[in-house]
This record gives sequence, structure tokens and C-alpha cells, in this order.
Amino acid sequence: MMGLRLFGYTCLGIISAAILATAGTLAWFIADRGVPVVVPETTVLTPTVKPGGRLYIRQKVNYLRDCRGNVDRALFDAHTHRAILPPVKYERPPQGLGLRVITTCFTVPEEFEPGEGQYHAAPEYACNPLQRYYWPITRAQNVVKFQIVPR
Amino acid sequence: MPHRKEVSLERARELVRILEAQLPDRMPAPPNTELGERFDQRLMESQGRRDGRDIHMFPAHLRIWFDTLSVDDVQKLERLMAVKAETVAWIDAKNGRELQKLDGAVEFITSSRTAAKVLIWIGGMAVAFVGGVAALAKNGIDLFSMLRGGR
Repeated sequence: MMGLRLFGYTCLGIISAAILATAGTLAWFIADRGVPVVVPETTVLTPTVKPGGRLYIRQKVNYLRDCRGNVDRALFDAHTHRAILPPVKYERPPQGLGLRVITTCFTVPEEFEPGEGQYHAAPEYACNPLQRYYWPITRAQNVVKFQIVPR
Repeated sequence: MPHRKEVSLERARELVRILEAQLPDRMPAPPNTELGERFDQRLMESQGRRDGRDIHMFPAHLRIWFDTLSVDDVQKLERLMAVKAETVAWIDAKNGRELQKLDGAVEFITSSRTAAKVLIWIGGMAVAFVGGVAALAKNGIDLFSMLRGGR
């Protein structure tokens, strides 16, 4: 009878421990929402671009944590045109952690018309499985404005 | 009374015998030094009423027990007496081992309930904890920020 009781207590302990461990892990994942990448400074190297021309953007990017990143990017003009750019995807910051300066270059599509153009970058980060599959870390889109001038 | 001179010794002796025989009747009743119960008992014995129906004739421990029985107790006893004959037969048919097994079953159910209570409590705690952490995370507070290294 004593052995049976011990067995019961052991089972109860294991089940309780499993529940608590699951809850703890989940809570740990849920609470872990620090933004892993900060962009302190963005410069447009070519403030005016012609349609079909090249747009250069230089950004200081501070990689704070080793997290998976996915940045959806798109270009817009003031006349409802949109061009979806290939997203930036990486499992780890390609150059490791730290402050980096990155210059990127896009071709403004031919059909874009003169006026204000915008470059949108919507980042999404995953630092643990929960963020990877359910609740990624997001922050406000990075919006860069430039002028499209007539050819 | 005959004249003294006419009394022969033989007659006198007979007279004494008669007086001695009558003595108990002529004596006053002895004082009753006995107390209630014993007196009653002797009284009833003398009246041939020793039929065992009188409560004060029960042994002392039973009398004490009767005295402590409350109305509730009596009701309980009556309920017990009203148990169905099959039930009594069923319990009666159980041998020692079976009864022990029944004890084990009862203990199992009791401990299962305890275990269920423990599990409910732990589960509730876990859910509350995870919910609280999620609410804090939604508001940008990391409960584990002190525990996390780096960054």
C-alpha cells in the first residue's frame, strides 16, 4: 500500500512538474519580446530618382540579438504604383551582432510616375519557437521617402 | 395475662418462644438506608418483576450510553437498522480480503480526488501565470528581464 502511494505521489509530481515546466517555458517565450534589431539612422543617398533609375539607401543597423529575421519590402509612388521587393531573410544576422552600416540599392520601376516615392520595410523577428510559428516580434515599418523626378 | 404465680416454667418458655417468633412483627420497620436504584431493584425483585425491561437494570456502561444518545444519534441508528437486507447480506458475504480490497478502492478514489485537486490547482496557477506574463508582454514588460543574460 505504501509503495502504491509513493508511486502515486511520484506520478503526481511528474505530471505537475511537466505542467509547470510547460507553463514556465511558454511564459519565458511569451515574455521574450525585446526588439532584436534597431535601425538608428537611415540616409537616402539618392534623394531624387528617375523612373528606371537606381535608389540607394544607407542604414545603420544595430543587431542586438541572434534572431531569425524577415523584412518584407516594397516601393510605392504617389500614383498608386507598387513594386514588391524580394524580402530580406536570414536565420542569424549575416555579419553577427553589432552595429553595421548597410547600403542597399533598388531599381525604381519604369512605370513609376513623378512625385513622392516611398520605400517600406516591415520587419518581423523570431527569437524562439513560439515567435517562429505563432507570434513574431514586429515593430513599426521603416518608411523612407524620396522624390521621383520626370525623365 | 394469667397470674404470675400460676405460670409454670414450661409455660413461660413457651410464652418466650411465642414472643420471640412474634418479635419481627412487633419491631418497628428498620430505617431505609438504601438509595434509589438498589432499593427499587430489591423492591422489584420482591414483586417478581425482574423481566429485564427496566432500563435501570441495564449494566452501567449501557446506561451511560443510553444517557448520551442524542436525537440525531437515535435517528442514525434507526437509519442503520433500516438498511436493506440485501445490503447487509452483501457486506456479510465479503470476506476479509475483499473488504481490504474495498478499503483499497476507497483509498484509491480518495487519493485520486486529492491528486485531481492538486492538478487543478497547479493547472490553474500555470494558466494564470502564463496569462499574466502574456498580458505583461503585450504591454511591453518582460517579467524575466532580470534573468535573461546579455542584450
